[in-house]
Amino acid sequence: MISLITQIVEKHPEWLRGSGAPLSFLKLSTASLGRYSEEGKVLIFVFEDRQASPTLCIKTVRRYSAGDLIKRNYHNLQVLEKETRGSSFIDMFARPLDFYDDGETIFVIETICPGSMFSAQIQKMSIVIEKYTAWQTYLARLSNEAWTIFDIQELVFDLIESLTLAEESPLVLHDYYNRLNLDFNIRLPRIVQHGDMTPDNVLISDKNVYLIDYDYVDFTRLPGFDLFNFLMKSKSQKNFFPDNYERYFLEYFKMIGAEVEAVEGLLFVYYLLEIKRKNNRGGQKNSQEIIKDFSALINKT
Amino acid sequence: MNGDNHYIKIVEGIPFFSEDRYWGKNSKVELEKALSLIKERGWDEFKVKYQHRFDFTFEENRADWRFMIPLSRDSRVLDAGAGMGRISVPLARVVGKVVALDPSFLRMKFLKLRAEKEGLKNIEVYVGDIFDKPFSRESFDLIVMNGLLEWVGVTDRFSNPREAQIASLKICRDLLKKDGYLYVGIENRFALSYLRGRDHSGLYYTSYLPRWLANFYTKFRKGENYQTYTYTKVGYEKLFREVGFDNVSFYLPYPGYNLPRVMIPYNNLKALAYLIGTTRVKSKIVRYLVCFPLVLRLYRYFFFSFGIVIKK
Repeated sequence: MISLITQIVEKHPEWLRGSGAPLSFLKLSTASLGRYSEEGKVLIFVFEDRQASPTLCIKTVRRYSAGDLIKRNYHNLQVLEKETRGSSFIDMFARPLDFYDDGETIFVIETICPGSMFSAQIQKMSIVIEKYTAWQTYLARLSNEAWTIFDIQELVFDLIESLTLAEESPLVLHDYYNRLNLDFNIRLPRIVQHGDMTPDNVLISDKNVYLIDYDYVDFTRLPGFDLFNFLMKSKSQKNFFPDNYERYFLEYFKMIGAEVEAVEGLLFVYYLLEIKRKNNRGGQKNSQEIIKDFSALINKT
Repeated sequence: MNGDNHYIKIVEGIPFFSEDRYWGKNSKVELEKALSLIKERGWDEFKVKYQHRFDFTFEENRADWRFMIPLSRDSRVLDAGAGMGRISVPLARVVGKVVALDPSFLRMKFLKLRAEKEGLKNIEVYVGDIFDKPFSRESFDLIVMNGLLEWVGVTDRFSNPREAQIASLKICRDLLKKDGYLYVGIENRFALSYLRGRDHSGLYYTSYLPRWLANFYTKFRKGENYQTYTYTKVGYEKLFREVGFDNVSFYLPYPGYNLPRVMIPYNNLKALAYLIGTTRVKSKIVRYLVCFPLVLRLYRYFFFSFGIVIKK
């Protein structure tokens, strides 16, 4: 594949920083076992001579039949580019340069997000949240006409209904939800979310914060999931989540102009969304486990 | 496919170029049991029951070095020393034909069965080894020697392992089409891991020793010659040059050539530094050390293995 990539890149000197040649290629593959073997992505980083960081990133898949993943990635990058064009937030993401599909090979060529994984520098939590919130605030201001007011209880019950629970009745979850501190009607903007903002998908450099991996980028009427996902999965100090979530979420909702007073109900929705995603990937919990784990997360018994 | 049609026999639809010679980490008895299980209870039950023992076999990214090589639906590939199909199967999903050659009948039987179960009709299996010269000249776009070159010296056809390695590479060169590729996945002679673990000889430190001393030591300990030669990058380059291969690119596969999740271009130290610096290596000392090219050079010198892409 790299000979094909070289041919394409040589036709676009504007993509490169310097003279370009000779190019070298660093390949990274994701795990590829069992049910995930179809989903596995392969990344090829293109290095120019004497450059300390790569210039381009090529994303592809092992099997052409899994090419929808690459098409979605390219489409999502276009969405991000469109939504951030004209602002400084455009630099938080890679930019789509080219999409190649000859019916046998499929890949997308993107620019590079030059940074190190947040996982290796968790002390920079506040920098990430500040930048992320600023981006979401920018989007929310643009989406004035697309706000949603909805009954959160109905949303939760629909979500519970859609979960594949290991056993007993979803009523256990309904009951637990009703005991949480709730807003029944919330008003939120419909904006783009990253959708998979794990600590590994956040890169930090001296100058910027970047979000990578664009498989789940989409518009949502329920923003906040990214922040929940990021805080929940950041292996920070003990009790970081229960001690800080209220502060971070209330600030986030205030900045994006949302009308939310009690966040626990929404956190439960985000948690169920994460459970639903895991269900789709083969994980399965019963209602009691969901309640126990969520309670432990927010430290409410 | 067979140039001279010199099969000595065909058993259960599998042609033999030479007599069956079993090898492998799993015992012959265990593989026979696995084959019986597949026959009696089906493929799915086998996959469940053997998921922890044969996981390695089903990792699709074992052949991910292929992204460094131009392949298409028209490509014909020879997987020499194919084993249980860890390379043949992922390659068969993207090329026209995979010819799997291995001295073990049981392993070829397993691969044939696996190909059938996975609906891959473009895998042919043969029992034999590369010295049988089983195929026509210039008939392959790619030949794979993944974990094979170090073992070809274990034969009584040659007096010296290096001679055997050169002879096997010459056969590969003849079998390759013009502009075809040879891929070699193999250990580094001076891999740091050989200070902690055993060499292919089954003994400690033999790869580090001069050949004559390794030979003496192996004879003393095991009563046999030291036959499993590995080399440093310079050593491999010399070996390939002797065969007439001049276009050779080295990669550092991580965690190893058997599972090349990462392929780092050998000649680009900055790529190696970038990889270490941007991933989740938390140690500040490591992050500091990678700023020094000398440290990276040393690390590269003792890296576990190489992925070598050779163009004819």
